[in-house]
Amino acid sequence: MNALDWLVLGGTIVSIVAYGTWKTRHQQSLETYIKGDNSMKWWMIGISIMATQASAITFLSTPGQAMEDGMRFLQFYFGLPIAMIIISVTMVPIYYRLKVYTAYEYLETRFDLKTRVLTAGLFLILRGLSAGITLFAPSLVLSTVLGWPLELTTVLIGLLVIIYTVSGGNSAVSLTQRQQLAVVMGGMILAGILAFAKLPKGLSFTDTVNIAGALGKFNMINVLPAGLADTEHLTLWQKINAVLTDRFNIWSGLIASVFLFLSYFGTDQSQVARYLGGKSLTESRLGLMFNGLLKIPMQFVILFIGVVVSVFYLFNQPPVFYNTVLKEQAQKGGRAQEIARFEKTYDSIYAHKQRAAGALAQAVQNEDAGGRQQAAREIKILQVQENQIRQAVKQEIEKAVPGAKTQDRDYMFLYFVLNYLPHGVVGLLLAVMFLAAMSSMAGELSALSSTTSVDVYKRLLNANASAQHYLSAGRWFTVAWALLAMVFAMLAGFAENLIQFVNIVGSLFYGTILGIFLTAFYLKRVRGTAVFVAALVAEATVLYCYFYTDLAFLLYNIIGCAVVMLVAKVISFFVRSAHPDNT
Amino acid sequence: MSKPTDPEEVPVLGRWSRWYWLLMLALVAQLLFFVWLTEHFK
Repeated sequence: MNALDWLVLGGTIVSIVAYGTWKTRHQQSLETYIKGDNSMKWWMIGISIMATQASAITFLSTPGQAMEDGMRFLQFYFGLPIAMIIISVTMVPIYYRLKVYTAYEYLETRFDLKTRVLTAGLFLILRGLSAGITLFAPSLVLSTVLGWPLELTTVLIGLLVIIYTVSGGNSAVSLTQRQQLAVVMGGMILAGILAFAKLPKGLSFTDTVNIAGALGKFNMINVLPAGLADTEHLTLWQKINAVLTDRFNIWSGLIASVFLFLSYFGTDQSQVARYLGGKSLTESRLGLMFNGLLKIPMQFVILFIGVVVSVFYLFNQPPVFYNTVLKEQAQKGGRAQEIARFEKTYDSIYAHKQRAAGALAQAVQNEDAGGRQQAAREIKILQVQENQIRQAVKQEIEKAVPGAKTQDRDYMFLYFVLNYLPHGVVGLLLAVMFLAAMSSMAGELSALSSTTSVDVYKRLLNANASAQHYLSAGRWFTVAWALLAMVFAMLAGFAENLIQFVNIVGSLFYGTILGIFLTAFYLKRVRGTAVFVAALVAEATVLYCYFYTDLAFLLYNIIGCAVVMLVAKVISFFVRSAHPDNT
Repeated sequence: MSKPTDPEEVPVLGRWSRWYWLLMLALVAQLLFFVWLTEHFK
């Protein structure tokens, strides 16, 4: 990092925050604070939706994921366009017709107050905890690479978000998200182009794609789990079981993730607020279509950048462990000799790999299919050996620094940025990470504040205050949630288990929330008490699955949703049988 | 708060099928492209 990098980093962040704050400084009521002035066009809504979903960890972790595992993560998003259509058809018109501020308001109109408060409460727990993680994950990585204390990066990102979110509310969030996403995607694409330019001379784009393909990086469609050998001898049940326990395949992408995205985009206020600020119902629907159309290509681009960087590392030696700060800590902690020994072996394996990579490039350029296959096989064997060494180094680090986080995937892309990209671009890419963290955190804080203001404070505690009072309350709730997220992010560093728990909190609650909404839309005769009891039963069922079974987390979304709808229908049936007039 | 809406009156289907079909078509086209990429560069 030199002066130019700091200038680009600071200049980009400060100018976006300052512009957003200045442009949206006149907020006069809670309505405009929460929904904006209802002037958003479809493309603004679409960008805002995408920027809220894509947090810093998307841009830190996804290229690393492609470098390690290929592009199969892309399948996770295949259900998203389907979810966008269902939401546009069912949910958006209802929110518009009832002119709601939050998604949970609709539940009181359709069911009763207790169902509304229960669902809003589930959302506040879920989103409040994940706002802390949205802040913690990039703060940790950026503090490590910049050599700053974790508290400093956490407070810095938190304060920057507070400035414009408190001042301008939803309008400021949406306005800044446009600029943030433009810088983020521009920066990422620039990094990809520069990575490609740094490949050996004479290697064309097609050659690069061919090399990556030979090494199995384009594993975007998995009908059966990747790496599952000898599938012919498996029974149908064994194949189904393998698919159910595998995280990313075409089935989980097209079926299970639809439920997750339905819940996230249709019932999570951090997303609902994005399209409720639309100019009209049509603009909101088009905004969702925009997201459905561009989300998969956007993830494709980010993963593809990771693939290009992985090809770059065939011709340039990668480090044995990408979190260099942690490695140095372990070396100082008495494991220097052991790590040096492993590094020596790693270097000699790489020397072989580099030769094989040269042979692969030549075979690709000469269109020699046999040579290509042979070189690729050799590289894959060497990569297995490299991974064994990397694993051994991680164990040494764990011995020297007990409790250290040795998963270095989040550092892979940043290591490339910091060590191989020119000055100025390094500053830009660090700004990308800060801006991505800010844009998703702003969306979350704005939603947390509006749900607390509308569904709890205004509805339950203080129903008859002035517009100015509610606006000021909304601002204070934003500050309070931001402070809570910052405290949580700082505590998360000390409690690894807490992070693991929070990562699955979404799946614990989303199924039930979705079930309540789908019951509202499709089971027309079900009333409030039936769905309230059903939601409690569903939540208990999901928690039982979490504590006493080994089911994959993604399935909780389906289970929670199905139990709510089923139990609500059954209760409703018996109540109607007992009181036929009460239908 | 307004009175509860009669559940029978809650609209379920919107009239926008043209755009939805286009989006589904785009999804299918993307999937076919990924299948081709996966198979062609194996």
